[in-house]
Amino acid sequence: MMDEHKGIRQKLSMLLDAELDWRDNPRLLDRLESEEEFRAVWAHYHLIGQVIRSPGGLLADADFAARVSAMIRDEPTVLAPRQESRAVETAGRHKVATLAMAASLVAVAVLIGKSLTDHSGDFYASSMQSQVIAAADSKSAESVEKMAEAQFNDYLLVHNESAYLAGSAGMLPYVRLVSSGPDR
Amino acid sequence: MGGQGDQADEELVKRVQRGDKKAFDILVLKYQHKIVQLINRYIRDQTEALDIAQDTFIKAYRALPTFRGESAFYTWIYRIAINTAKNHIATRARRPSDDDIDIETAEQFETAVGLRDQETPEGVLLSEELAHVIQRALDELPDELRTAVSLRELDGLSYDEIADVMNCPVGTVRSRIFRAREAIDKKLQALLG
Amino acid sequence: MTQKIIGKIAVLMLICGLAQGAENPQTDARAWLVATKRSMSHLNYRGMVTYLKDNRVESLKVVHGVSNGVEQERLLSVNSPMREVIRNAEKVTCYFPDSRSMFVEYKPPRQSFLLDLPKDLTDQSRHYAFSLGGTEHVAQRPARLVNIQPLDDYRYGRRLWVDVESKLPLKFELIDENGQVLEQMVFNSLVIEDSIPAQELAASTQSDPSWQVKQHETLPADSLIWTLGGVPDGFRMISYSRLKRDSENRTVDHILLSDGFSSVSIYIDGLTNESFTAQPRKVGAINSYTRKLDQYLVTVMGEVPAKTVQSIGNGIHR
Repeated sequence: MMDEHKGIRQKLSMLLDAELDWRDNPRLLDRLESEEEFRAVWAHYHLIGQVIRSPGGLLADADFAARVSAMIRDEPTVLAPRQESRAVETAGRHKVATLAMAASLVAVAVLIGKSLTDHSGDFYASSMQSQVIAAADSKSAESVEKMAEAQFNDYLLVHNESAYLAGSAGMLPYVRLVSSGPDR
Repeated sequence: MGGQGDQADEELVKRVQRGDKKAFDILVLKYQHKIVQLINRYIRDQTEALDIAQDTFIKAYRALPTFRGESAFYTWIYRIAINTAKNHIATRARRPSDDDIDIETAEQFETAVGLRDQETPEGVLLSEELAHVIQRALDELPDELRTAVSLRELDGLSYDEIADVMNCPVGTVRSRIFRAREAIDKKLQALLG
Repeated sequence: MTQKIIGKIAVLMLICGLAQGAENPQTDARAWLVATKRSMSHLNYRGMVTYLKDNRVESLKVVHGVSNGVEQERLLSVNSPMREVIRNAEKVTCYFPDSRSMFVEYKPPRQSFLLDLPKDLTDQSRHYAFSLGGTEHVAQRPARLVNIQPLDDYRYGRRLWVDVESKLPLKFELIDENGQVLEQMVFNSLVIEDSIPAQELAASTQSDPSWQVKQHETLPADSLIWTLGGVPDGFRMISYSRLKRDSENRTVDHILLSDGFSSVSIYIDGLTNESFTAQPRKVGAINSYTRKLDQYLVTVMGEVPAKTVQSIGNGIHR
């Protein structure tokens, strides 16, 4: 255990010097974020560097980071994941990111095929295309309602299928998917 | 230098943009002193400089959705810091103060030594004490450790370059820098308890 | 039908610090949850589960086995239609005999689908309070109640009854803001074994090549043009998908959010039809909210209170 922590501190030292690629150590950033011990080391190493560079210069006070952190917690979370598609290559490597739970990169998935809801009014089946177009053309109140209903169920299904990714902290997160009958 | 440092920043920024606020904490810990010192060049009063630095980070957090990575994160937040400091001076221009120095003068200074005519806040006192501990610990380091970490921090040399200068393997450089930090950190921990 | 207390469990208990005299009740409750997660992935067991929702009762069979470090699970609905989910290490296959189709997904390793808990509960402590309740009998076994209470009204609460002996989850309830039970799952019977034979973990559904296979394909990421401004703290983005619908250029963006316990899906649909209304809906545990955004139709749904989906829905902009 002690050696492991020392190993991580050593990696943090290298990370600070930009001599370590975080992508080779994906857990390093996670641990840095979640473990107080490593955050303290990170903070101290940066403090040391600052003092070496500017002895006598003004430093952030000891509680500065904690104050900022508390204020950020109160800020509304704004999500705007913009993925830059830069070619990130170092020494000829091209790393492919993998999707891990609640922590990482965005993947674009394409779901092809018809919705698995088994009742008529299926909005998206290509075989039902004509039905859809007919419904749209007729513009009658019920057909629009039918479309809305089918669309809603499609969304619901996709949501339930994704439940395992999100971690619903229920027992048996697939149950909704497996349970019979439409989710109404 | 900076390529991979930027990459870690890039990843942290992406995490924040995905809702991970802790990633922002890591960025704050990395840049807090640099930003504070930068603002201190424009705003002499220590308490105010700290407040404005704090504002800078909050502004940066709020503006992060618009950050597209065209520049390095630090370059971006550096500009936010300067703008925040300048705005503060501008709004105070109606109430002239002896403390703040004008912008042109500020930009000539590499480092500003904080004025002592105000009461120094307690948190700052602790930081100063930590700085003394660090200085002493540095002096007490074996020569090769102090040299290695100074070449890295002060001169900004890469491990490879330091290996050249010190005529030793890169692994030794890595180890010396780490040991220097560990030794100094130990003394910091002793103070912080 | 053998039942054994495996020596491992005693070790697990020690590791998780469940010895008497643990100080902090919140830590205790979390320790129970961590132990639960461990047991689910390490033990071999089978049982029958009752699932209650909207006054509907369903029965499901659950089997879990580990051999050579590889986890396998099987969930079978015994009501008609007999849907089935099989997990083999990271691969999850859902069979839908009623529509002659199946869904295949690759799940991150080391995650049981019996109980999904976030890796580390520290984040969640900001938004949920964990506490231990009393001991009750579930499936003729003593079980300790673990409460997961939301600290704001953007989330739902949960109650989990954990088997004292094995630390497996025996009963689960999803609770809404009024204390109403939205969903309940409970083991009627549970047997822990030394090992489970392979045939019990194999799919019983007979599929054939005519079945449609639905699969997620991962493509290089695109940029997301939406900014989400009304998301309660603690929710993170889990995935972003672009769903293809029809053969036209219509796309639906699906953004999945989670705070580790509750998940919310956002659908941004390029289909324009002014007749679609923006009425909030509730379907069992799931609340839904719809609104127009320029030429898009935005739908937000999830196992969260209505105000949450509304807040998220109203906070979306380009």
